[in-house]
Amino acid sequence: MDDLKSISNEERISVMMDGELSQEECGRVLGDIVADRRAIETWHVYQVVGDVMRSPELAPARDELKFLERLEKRLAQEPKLPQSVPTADLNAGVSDSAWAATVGSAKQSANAPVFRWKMLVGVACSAVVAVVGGGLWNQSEGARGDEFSKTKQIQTQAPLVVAAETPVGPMLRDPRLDELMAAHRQLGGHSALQVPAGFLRNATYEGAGR
Amino acid sequence: MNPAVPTPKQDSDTELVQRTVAGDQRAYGLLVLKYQRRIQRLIGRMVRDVDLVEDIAQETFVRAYRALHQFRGDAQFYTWLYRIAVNTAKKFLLELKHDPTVSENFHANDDDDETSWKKAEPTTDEGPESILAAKEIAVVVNAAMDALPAELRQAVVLREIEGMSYEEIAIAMACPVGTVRSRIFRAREAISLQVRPLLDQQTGKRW
Amino acid sequence: MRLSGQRCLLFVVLWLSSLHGAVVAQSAAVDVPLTPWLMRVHQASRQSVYTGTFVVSAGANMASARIWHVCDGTQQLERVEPLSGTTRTIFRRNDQVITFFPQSRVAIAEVRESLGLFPGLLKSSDSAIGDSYRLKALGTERIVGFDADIFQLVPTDRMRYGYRVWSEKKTGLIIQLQTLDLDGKVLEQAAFSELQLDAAVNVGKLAKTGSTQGYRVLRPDLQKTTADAQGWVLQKAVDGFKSTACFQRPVAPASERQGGSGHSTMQWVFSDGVATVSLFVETYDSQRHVREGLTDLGGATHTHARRIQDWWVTVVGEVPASTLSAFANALERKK
Repeated sequence: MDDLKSISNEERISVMMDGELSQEECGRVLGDIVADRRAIETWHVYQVVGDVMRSPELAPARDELKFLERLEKRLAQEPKLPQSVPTADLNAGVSDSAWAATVGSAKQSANAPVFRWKMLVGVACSAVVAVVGGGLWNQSEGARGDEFSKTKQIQTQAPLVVAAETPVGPMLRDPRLDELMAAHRQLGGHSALQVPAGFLRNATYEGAGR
Repeated sequence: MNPAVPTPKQDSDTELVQRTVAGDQRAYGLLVLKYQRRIQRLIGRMVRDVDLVEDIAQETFVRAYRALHQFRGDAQFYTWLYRIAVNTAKKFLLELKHDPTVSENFHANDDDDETSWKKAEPTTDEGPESILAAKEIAVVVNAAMDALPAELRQAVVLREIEGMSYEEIAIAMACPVGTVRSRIFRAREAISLQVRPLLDQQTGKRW
Repeated sequence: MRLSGQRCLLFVVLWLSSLHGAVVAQSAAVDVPLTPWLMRVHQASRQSVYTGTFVVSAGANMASARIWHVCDGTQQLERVEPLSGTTRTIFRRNDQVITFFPQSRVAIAEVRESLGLFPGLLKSSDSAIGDSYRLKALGTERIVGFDADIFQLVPTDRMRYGYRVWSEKKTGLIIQLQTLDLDGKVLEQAAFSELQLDAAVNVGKLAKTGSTQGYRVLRPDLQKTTADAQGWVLQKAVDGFKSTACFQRPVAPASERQGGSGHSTMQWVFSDGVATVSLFVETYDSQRHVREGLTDLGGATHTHARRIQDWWVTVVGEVPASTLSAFANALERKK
């Protein structure tokens, strides 16, 4: 970015956390942040704001800097980290069942405040809208360093409601497809493998759109 | 102004991991500040006691730190971290399996309780002040979003909710990338202005 | 003679693999009669008592849930607590399923026919399963602390996906299930990440969690019907798939259902014995129905949407996209 020097510290943090800087610039900005208490607090509040925008459940109830302090005391006692060693892909393995990624949902319960502004997106933005199917998954393109992956369709579309949060980023969701998926799982289970795997699979998915 | 070959962009997680492995523990702190809420929410679904949730979260971040050099940039950092959180929580739960005070326990050795089993086990809940503090933050963010000028709100929503890049937002909003950057920043600052004092209060309460 | 030679080879290979915990190569795979295997696998799930954590994943994404399952004399009780998505608990007693949403205090009570169908389903369509899949034994492997036999359901054509199944040696309980695409790549995996078999579970307590006290109970307004009665027909059958049910129903977000509200939709269900496909037909609405064609919902699931005159058809299923398209293109109004 040409004019990195001419913008404020806070704005640099904002651009950097959006992944919009080169590696060199990113490294420099991070180096500045870690040395400056105020900058760390800015990073923190920006992260909190992003999380709460996606899901009000994530609003912190406790002092998070205290949490970090407590952790840092423990880490100070840890031996120095070895340098990166290429190992087998941690996620590979036919029998490795202990995988982890989350599919969280930002959808509100009936009693939560309505985040109306989230719905403005579909209406206001007709030119390029990132659409990732209508289901539970994010279509991961697997590009390294690409924090958000998506397939794009250029189209006009009825307002798409509330995004779901996935580890690779939020995505749009077509609530109607969700309903059909739920109905399919509910009644479409005429399968020899329904029990237990099929039912459990469907029960685990189900309700994400509810 | 446009370079012949655009410089590849760097994801901040990747950079933070690299810095940590290179010896800068403070960089890890930034990752913690970014992910502790999601990790605690995840653990909170498996464990009801909030103090225990925090302990497990601490343990998760320690284990992740130890294994950081094994993390390959191919997978998403949070995916990798999530797995560690689930495994760490599982281990805690298995150790607690014979503890009748843990609520997720249908173990046959529990004393039979004629009344609703949900009430029987003592757990630590978040105090009313803390719950209120969290709600306040959520309400304040919502209100601040509503109060934003439309173009600032749209920019930050496209970024934080839709996950679009600056370039994509620039096309969507028919404005230059520099304007996108500025709008997102101004939106963040406007909301942060309201949130910072609430976070400061949480810190203040400790003393 | 040749058969017993193959059997010998399998025993040797299984013995070796149980020593080394390795997966046997495909070339040693042996054909296994499908029906008795399905019966055993199904019996295991009905009669076993188990608790654990169940993880469903596709690529880098996944969802997980904690599971408790008991047999209380003649009935099965099951409790599923998903760890992701909206906070909810699913409680099952045989084929009756209640989904509790504690935040809104709503409970959806449903009867899932398909859960009560076994083994009848098998008897009526086992020839279909046999035509569409071959079962192969692949060997043994130890996973999640249990010895498991590995089987592969190999599709006989390209209209459906294949499956690899890890079945616990002693009981036959399915510990892990992989859905494989036409190239043999894993599309989805559903498996226990931890499992306690014959766990000591307090059945009384578990049963109490199925109480709807304090909840507003909703029952979906389902009407059994036939596609024919609704005026629809499949002008060309899709290989291996038989029509198994048809319903007229409202399809709306569960927590917002108020008796009969929501669009009335026909759901026509097909099955080849393992994979299922639902055809949804509703009135065309130009506001909502804009995108025809295929959508990949991740994992093994696709949808294909199509407009037919005044109706909008959405086909959903855990099958290759081309199969969905075959259904979508074969559906017709009766003449």
